[in-house]
Amino acid sequence: MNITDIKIAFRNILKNKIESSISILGLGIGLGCIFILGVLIIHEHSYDRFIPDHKNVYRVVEDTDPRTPYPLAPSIQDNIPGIQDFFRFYQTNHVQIKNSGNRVIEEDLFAFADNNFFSLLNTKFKYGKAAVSPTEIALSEDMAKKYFKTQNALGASLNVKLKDNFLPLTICGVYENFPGNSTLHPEFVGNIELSEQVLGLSQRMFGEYGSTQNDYQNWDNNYFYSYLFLSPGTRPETVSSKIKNFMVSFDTEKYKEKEYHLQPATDIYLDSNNLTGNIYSRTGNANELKYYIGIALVILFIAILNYIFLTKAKILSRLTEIGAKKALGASNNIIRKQVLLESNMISALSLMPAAIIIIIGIPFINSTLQKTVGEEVFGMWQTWGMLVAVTLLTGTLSGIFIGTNISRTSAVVLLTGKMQRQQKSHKLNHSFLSFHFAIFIILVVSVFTFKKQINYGLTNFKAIDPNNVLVCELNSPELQKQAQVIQNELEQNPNVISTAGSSFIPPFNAFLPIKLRTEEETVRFDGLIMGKGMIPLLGMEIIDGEAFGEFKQDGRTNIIINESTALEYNIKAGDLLNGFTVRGIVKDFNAHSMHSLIQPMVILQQHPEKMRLLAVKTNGKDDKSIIETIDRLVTQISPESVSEVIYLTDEINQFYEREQNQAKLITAFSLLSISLAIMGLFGVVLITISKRTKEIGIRKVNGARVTEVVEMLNKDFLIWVIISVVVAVPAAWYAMNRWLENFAYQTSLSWWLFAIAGVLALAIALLTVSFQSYKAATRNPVDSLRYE
Amino acid sequence: MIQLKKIDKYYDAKFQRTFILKGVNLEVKQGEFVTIMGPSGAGKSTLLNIIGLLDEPSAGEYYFWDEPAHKIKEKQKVQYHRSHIGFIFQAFHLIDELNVYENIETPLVYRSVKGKERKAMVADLLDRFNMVAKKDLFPSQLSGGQQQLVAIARAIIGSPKLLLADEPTGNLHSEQGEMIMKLLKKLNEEGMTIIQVTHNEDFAQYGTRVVKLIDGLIREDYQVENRK
Repeated sequence: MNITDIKIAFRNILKNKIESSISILGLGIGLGCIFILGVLIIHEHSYDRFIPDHKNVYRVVEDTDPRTPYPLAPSIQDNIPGIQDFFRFYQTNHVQIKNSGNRVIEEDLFAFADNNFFSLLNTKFKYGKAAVSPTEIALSEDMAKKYFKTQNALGASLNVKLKDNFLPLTICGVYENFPGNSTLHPEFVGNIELSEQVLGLSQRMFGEYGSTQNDYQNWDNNYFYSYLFLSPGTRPETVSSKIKNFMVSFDTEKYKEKEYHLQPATDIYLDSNNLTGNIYSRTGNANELKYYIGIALVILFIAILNYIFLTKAKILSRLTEIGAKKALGASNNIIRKQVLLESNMISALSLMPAAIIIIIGIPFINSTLQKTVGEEVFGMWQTWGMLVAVTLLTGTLSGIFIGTNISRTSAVVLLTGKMQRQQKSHKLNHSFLSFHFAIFIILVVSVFTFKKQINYGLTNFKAIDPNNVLVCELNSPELQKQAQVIQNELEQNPNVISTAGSSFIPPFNAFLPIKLRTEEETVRFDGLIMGKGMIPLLGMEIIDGEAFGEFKQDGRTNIIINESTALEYNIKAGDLLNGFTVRGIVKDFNAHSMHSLIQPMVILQQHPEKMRLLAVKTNGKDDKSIIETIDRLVTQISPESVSEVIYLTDEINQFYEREQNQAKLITAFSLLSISLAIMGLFGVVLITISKRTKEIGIRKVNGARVTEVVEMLNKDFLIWVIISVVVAVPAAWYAMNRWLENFAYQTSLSWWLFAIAGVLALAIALLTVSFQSYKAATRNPVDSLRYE
Repeated sequence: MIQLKKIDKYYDAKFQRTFILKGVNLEVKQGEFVTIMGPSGAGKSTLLNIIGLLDEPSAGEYYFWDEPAHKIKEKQKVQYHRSHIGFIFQAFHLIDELNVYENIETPLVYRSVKGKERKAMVADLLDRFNMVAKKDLFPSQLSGGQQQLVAIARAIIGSPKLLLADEPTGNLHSEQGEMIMKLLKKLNEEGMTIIQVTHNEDFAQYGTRVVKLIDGLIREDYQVENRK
């Protein structure tokens, strides 16, 4: 490598502005995509590695649940050697907090932890310290800014509603925000004692069927993560077997059976998919990114192909330069190095567009894949290592492909132009275009199929009508008690068709397993707990027996089942099912998203004063005033409560959030792929036309019309696009069939999905080629002939 | 200096062998200025390319300074190109992306001559060719004659023993052609061995010897009498 080569490379890049821009921009897009995914992978594998001495940090897991009893961690530290330190952690959501303007805001990341939580996780306090009493609260910088507009909020008071009433808590500390690669990331951390207030609160949503215990900080209830910090050299297996020995020393039979093991803290993020109670941590999935990395690699590959083919086509006009150099004493090696230098320069220059892609792409990926890639990822050597490695690899690989042939060719061949003649006349190899357009077609078919399935999932509910249903949460005991009052008032409104209370309103995304237990057996059903009137409100159809009537104290033994249950157990209304009276049979309906099949179901009746939700079926004419009425009634009955009224259909939209996001991501990928395909096609058409200028001139002199010339040029390129359609359609069909297997109820893969994608690809190619071939065809033939 | 013994060059088509050169014997002594003449397709350029080690003979022996040049390997050829043989072409073959100065410098770079030394050598030559003012121009900004001048400068900067010129005046009008020929003659008088290919009878008179090639055979070989 020497200065002359760098000069030649630079001037070459500047001379062929269009080709160079296509190559640089294209490689930039490709590299940008792969970098984003690379950064994401590095981020995913960096979770919790910021914890000092993270190799000795473990979380206790009971069977498949990391939530453990309150007394566990302190007791085992006292009884088992090798446990240096521990902290317990509990987090709750939907905590209402009053801001300075007395507006109520709901917060989800409200945690309770032992005092050493922060020091063990190496999280520093900007001001103050952790909460030492149940009247104090520490919060993150972000929250300090949000609630107090300043970071130093020490001593201020925050009104927090943990259970039924707002409690004033004193700000005792403001800590640095947790990094994006921390599985635990609470915004509020209260003293562990304070958790007493909220434990068991979730039982309320089951109303009549929930537990009503008072004390949850005992061996019977599993709420807390227990993190153990082992002394160096202590083996986790030793500790877990000692925990087992310790548990056996209990008198209670139930405790003796408990099996605990230790999960390394650094495994929590990627390796917790088989755990059920991993609800306070961010989680990832090692497999999830596989497909996106595949697509990003394909995009990079397209960009590299563009570069290689364009450069190979363009290099034909530089053969004499290389030939002359050889005659002047340049060895094959020197030529090879020159080509490699140029390709690496192109790939280095493409880091500029790549940077733009990264800047736009990371927030996009964060929002669509719900990731938290932050600045910290750019502080890691792995990120920069990957950046340099991928750039060099791209430059070098393409350089090798471009240069090998040329560098070996002898000077005479290069100088006499025999090389050009060796290639079959003017027909360059455009096969790479097929690949480009095939990928585009597959991606477009995917996007359309995703949208079609999502739309199908939103509109094709069987035997249930979720439209025009307003839902309001009754989140205080007063509201629950007075539900009937609200209902009566709302039913005065002529635009309200009916109202009903319920604990759960289908279709909903969670599952509520209900076990009917007799002495001999326990049978598990898909379950629901509803109030009177909910079944007709949702347009569900009773095919035998009747719906729920007034709730009676013995009502707990009255159930409604669906057709599937009736068929499976061969029962009808009035019969007994495991000791419960079947009051009615409802036609099979979609109680969940289209991902899951309709299961045998049991519906229980809720006590009218213990409803969690209130549903209002309207005629859709004046929902606004109905919502206002609800808000007014809620404030009247329970002034401190805030309850947002939402449409049931909005909830349903969230069933397909994942698919919506996938569709967004694939749309982005398909836009990138088509831009690359257009750029590649554009470049190759440009080169071809410049090579065939003379031919076009001769044809025109001999009487060819503009249309005939345009047609002739189009033919050469469109054949590759047509091939791409032929290849892409079966591939897309196969891929989409596989994807649809995720759903129990699937839309059909209509022919028009493929037709649109194919026509789109053809139209784009046709436009790109025609634009340039028209310009070439309308040139004065005398000019083009003289040009030679 | 150069000895060709029974040089054949042919291409094999399906059932036919096409000879470009057939049994060419030629000896060129140091200090000669040989002009190879002949009609198109006679094999002139091929002969020149074989002498310049750009092409290989199909059969026969070629001795360069008594070394068997038909046996040397690709890698060694590069060394010959770097230090013994200079080329000029009909189409000049300057590197478009480099200016006059850099074009002339290129062979020195391949020979790993040090930067300072290079500067001095190029400056010297530019001075000699009266091109100092044009050193920053690019080939596309020069006339044909000037381009060929640069090409000659580039060919001789490494002081080769042998200068090969393939129709050096072919793309030039007569005035420029004459200028180039005078320069070549001067170089020859200074001791450089030159072999040129040309169609032009007049320009052959600048040399010391004429070799006429017809259909791959040497038909005439005579000393120039009234050298211009």
